[in-house]
Amino acid sequence: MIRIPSFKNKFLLLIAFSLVIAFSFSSCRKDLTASNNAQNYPGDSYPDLFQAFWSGMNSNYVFWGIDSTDWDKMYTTYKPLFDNLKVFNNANETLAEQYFSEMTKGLVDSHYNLTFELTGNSFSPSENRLLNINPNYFTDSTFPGAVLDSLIPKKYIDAATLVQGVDTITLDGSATAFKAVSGTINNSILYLYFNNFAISQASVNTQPVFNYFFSMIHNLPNYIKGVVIDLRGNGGGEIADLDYLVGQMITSQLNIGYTRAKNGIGRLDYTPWAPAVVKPWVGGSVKITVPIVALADHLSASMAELTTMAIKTLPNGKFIGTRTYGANGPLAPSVYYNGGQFTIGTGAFGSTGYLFTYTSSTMFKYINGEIYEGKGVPPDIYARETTAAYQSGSDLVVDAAINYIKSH
Amino acid sequence: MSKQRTGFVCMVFLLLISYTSKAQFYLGIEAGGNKNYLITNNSAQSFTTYNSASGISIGIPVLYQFNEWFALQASPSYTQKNYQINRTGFFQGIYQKNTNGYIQLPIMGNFSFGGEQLRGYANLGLYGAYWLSGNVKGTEPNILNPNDTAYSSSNPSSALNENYGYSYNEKYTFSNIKDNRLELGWVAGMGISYEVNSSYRFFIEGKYTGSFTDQQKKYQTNQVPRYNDTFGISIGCLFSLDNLFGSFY
Repeated sequence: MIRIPSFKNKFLLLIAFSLVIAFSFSSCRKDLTASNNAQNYPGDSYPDLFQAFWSGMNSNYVFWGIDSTDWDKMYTTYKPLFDNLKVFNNANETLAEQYFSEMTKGLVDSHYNLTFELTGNSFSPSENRLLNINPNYFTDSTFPGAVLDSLIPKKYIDAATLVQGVDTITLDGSATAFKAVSGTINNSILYLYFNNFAISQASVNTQPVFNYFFSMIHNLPNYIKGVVIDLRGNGGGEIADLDYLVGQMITSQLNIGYTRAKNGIGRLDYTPWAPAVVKPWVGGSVKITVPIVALADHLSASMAELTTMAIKTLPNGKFIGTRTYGANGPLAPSVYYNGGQFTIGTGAFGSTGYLFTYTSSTMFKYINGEIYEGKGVPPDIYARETTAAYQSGSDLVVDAAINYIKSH
Repeated sequence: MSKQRTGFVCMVFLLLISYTSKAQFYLGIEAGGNKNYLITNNSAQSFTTYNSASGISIGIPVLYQFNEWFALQASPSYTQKNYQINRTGFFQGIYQKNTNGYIQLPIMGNFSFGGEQLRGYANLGLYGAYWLSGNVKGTEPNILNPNDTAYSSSNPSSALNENYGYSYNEKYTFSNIKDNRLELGWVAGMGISYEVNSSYRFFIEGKYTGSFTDQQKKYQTNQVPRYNDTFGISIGCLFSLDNLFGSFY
């Protein structure tokens, strides 16, 4: 016969039972050791640098949701290879750089760039991809530089209105020539070209160009039937220029798409999509109702693409040219979004570290739902300059813009 | 679980079912609040903390009283397991509150002690839960909505001063790749019940539930797991079906 336990015994029984259960279940959880912040790994060996890089990419890279690269496979494939690199020497460094490049060559982020600080070498997956498709991608055309130097200012822009200049500015820590051209074409089209989005750095030679352009915008004469903004070859730059440039031509907020960032260390931890907007410029704006045409090409990247898409979104906007570069995820320091660019190996190699990974902080989706990262923005009207046309004194892209504006 | 532990559990169970002459069946309702902690490790994220958040719980406890001191209890319930991510310092104001609703079924042993009317009790058992719904509410810096006035300032006061914040409050979209919607765990609680008469009794109890399954599927190498730890307090009432509607036996 089973005896009913006393109250005291029941209580002891309960405690014993609880302890058994608690002990059993507490061991069911996995280890909570976090993957270290990529920048905090010592980086004093190739295996450690590999671990830092793999982890940094795993948590900071913002395109895992759309990227086809199998990052887990990269871990299993390349970890043993890095484990074999026992010491730092030239031969191993060559192999390490080759491995890092192979791991990342399929990434969709077209801003992405690896800089190996020991050798000064770098690797860009997008350049690699585009050169594999077309070996002459970056060299098959002298445009738009030559067009702007010798064609547009001399043949297209009305001489009395021509304003142009070159300043030296600082982009990503490097001195860069900043060129700008403006004026009217056939006394009916207001034209603007500049080669980088760094308008805040416009100085004595280029500020008059922007002064002229925006003065015309704010007091648009009746004879101006269209505006052309030439972004061919423009590699991008400061985000604030979007409001500064396009925002002076609108009087109400314009939604052009959405961005999202990482919000956790997991590969697929994302914030919700936030609306990407262009606001009327705080210093004043007017509503431009004549056609606004963005000219862009295969070398137009980043802010040049965002600006092209902003103009394309306007009811009176049009994009003429060729498919753009496909690097349109905005960037910020990694601390802002817990994602994007990072440096590894600072513990062993000093502040510049061993490897700097330049990558987008946020993913951009155009208002139509398309993500053009790695693909480029398709033009509304295709037009591309040719050597033959250039030699005969014609810019076929500007001609297409003139014809479009004439027809509206 | 080892053979010894299994034997111990079996022995306790035999003790419990051996004395069922006073067996009664209870059905009731309970409601309460809780505080959930997401247990993870985010040390790789700068200026970021994971904080607990409050939630609610509503349940329908079903209790089968084997004898004076032991019952088996199941409490199907809707339970929120919320948490909040906060940025700190220069990034103050950036946050996300995750409100997660679970349908939960704990099966517990109920051990009671004390007098005729006022009795103390402890619960111990296991639960299974399904992550039914999610909502995210928060503010994030909107990189393509810069504060054009602050841009010219070399010293913006905060991240939300540099870029306007985007405030959202929307349904969470589950990911088939990432989200593990089935949760298993254990539950322990203590409470006091007061029997008004033989037909019904009120109770108040504190309860802990801890998951031992990751909130994420195993979708990446070196994954850092996330577990829910939930501390709740609830009040409720149990009705004796035997006394209200006659004996089932």
